[in-house]
Amino acid sequence: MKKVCAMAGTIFNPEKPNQSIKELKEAGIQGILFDFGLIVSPAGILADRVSEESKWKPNQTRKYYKAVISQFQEHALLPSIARLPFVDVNLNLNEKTGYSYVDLNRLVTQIDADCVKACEEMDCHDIIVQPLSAGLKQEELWEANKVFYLNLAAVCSNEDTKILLTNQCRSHNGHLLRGVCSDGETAAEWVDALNRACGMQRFGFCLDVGNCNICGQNMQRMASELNSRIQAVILTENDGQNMARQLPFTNAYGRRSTMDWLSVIRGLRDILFDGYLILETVDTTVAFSPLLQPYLMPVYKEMLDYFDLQINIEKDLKKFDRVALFGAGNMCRNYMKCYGRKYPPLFTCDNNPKLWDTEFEGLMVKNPEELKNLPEGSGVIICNIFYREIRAQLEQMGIVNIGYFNDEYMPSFYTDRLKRNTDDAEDADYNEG
Amino acid sequence: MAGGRKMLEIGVQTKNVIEDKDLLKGFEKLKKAGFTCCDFSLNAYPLNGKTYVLGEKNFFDQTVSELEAFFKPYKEGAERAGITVNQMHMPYPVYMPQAAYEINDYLWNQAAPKSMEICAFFGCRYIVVHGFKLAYYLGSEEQEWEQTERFLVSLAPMAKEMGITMCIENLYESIGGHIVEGPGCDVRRAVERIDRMNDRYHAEVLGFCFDTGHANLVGIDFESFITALGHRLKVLHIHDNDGRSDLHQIPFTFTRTRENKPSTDWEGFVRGLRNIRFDKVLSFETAPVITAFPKELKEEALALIAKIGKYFKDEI
Repeated sequence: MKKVCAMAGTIFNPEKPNQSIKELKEAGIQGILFDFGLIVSPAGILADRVSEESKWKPNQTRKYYKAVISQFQEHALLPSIARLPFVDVNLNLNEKTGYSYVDLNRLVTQIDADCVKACEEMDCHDIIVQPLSAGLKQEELWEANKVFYLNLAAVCSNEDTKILLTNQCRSHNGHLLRGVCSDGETAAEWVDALNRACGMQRFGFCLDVGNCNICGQNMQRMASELNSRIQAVILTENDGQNMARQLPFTNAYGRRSTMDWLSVIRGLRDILFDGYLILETVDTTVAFSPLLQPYLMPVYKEMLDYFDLQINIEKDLKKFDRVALFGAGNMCRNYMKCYGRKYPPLFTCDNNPKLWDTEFEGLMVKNPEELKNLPEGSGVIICNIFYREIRAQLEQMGIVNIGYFNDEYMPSFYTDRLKRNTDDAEDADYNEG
Repeated sequence: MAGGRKMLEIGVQTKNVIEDKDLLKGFEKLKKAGFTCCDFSLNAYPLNGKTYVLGEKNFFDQTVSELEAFFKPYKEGAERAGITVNQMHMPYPVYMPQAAYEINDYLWNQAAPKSMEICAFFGCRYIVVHGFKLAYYLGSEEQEWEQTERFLVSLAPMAKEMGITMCIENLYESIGGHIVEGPGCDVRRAVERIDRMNDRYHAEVLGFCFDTGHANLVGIDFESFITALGHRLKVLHIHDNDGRSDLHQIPFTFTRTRENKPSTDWEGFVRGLRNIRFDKVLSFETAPVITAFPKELKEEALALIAKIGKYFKDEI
């Protein structure tokens, strides 16, 4: 899994990225999504083209972003994935702007072709390219995009370069609806048709969960329909109405995120996703004072690791020859429901002595001391939310093979939760899974 | 009729319009407003809240004869006023994963089949059925559909015999107040499942109810969804909302920008129905509109809904 942060919201000044790159690296973030749109915007170019001084003039843009890329090179943070400039779905051209959608789409094509070359020059081989949609009727979309994407493919000289289509919304009088490539099966058909036309696997897909969330889509189903075509996933959150790019879990109501992360994680697990995880959080980052923004970088690193953990939850379970569990509550119950057959534990244990020598979900509940007698190569999987305390306890016992289980995003759930009658109130919270 | 095509009719749900104390007056009000059909709100008998708790005497404990006797005045009222009961809504939910076995058994084995009997009693061809909401528990939409299909299969022989088409509807779920798609939102799968079931029973036992409000909440493209449904689209629930909450308001009510153009894609809705040469009933599910307007304006509100129906009819 390649874990990166989007440039917007982490590189605060693309022209002078040094400090930002330093903070990212200190936080342990090893990669970024290079956003050409921060440097060159088609709409900006069209609006500004009359000015001789404009840095947005087509023959200036290449020089401009080459200068930015060279600064990344100096810091050994060359991006391996990039996103090309695109047109905002809310853009509304009228007579006053003085240019047409045809002008705009033509310019996007020109700029994107140039950016593809720039990507290959910096050894960046995964390139996210939004479909064209501005000013196009429904029945025109496929043909227009086929020409657009095949033109870009023709520019590629490296066989490793992959162009990733991505899902969009469209605006209907200000209300965001499902747009181009928002239907998984149709998007898959597009990718396959383009690859057939190219005679090679040049195209793939980048799933933008933020755009899916705007339209309340079933992301598990979308992932399954696109399957191995998904090479990258943009992890971001919004309120389901506006195209914000927020840190996951921050758009909350009623003590929970309003985003269907369960659907995302189930979907990515189902397809054994192992591509790019791209965290995009510009609205969260910029909402914070610049004095506080550097403190967000470590959180972003942990967030990426968290999603890696959830998507690859079975990795922790299969890294040991045999496992024993720690915890005899709801989390253990969920483990046994979803993974007990595939990764059968030897037993479980709990700090509540009343549970020792009882059976729970087909497992014997033992004194944690029994963990000292585990066969070599075995691990202890913590099935309790008090991870840090239990880890400390296990380390004190000399146990080193420790893994974590988490039941927040299970393949399936019980319709009820286990309720225990616990007389030892002071231990109740610590002991319950 | 031009080209042999049936005329579109206009209907509305009976909830908040037809009152038990004077049924004929309620149906006559519908007729006067411009409707020729109605969507009988069987789901109001009993109220939703009561389906969660089984009491000593529950509505569907009555025998079929008792239920027919209960609804006879409604049937007669509609007939006398010249209103056709085009569709009705089975009480929902039809399954509650966290409820006791007895409640789900009652819903499945009493409420559901007796609803079908009532539908047949009214001479009504279509009954809307909500799919089960189980994807969270079971793990996928496919597994959820398996359970819904089991339920529909239990009613299918009855549907075939009575000449009733059960119509699955596009629904939604809520995640922390944010509306996301629920059962019935994938049109390709809906088409495949409807065709499979109808092939199995050699009859149109299953169809689709397109709910514009629910579709609007999850950004579904009306035109492409309706076009893909084709002849499987049997009934409609037409209403509007702000894209955030299921408000069941009058079409064209909501805007989002200074240009104040409708934020719901009614043009796409009309194009979709035109594409499939829809020839059934433009039925509005707008009960909350009736309660929102003051008493003095309710009839005008109802008439406006019917006029919008006529507008759609003329456009289609």
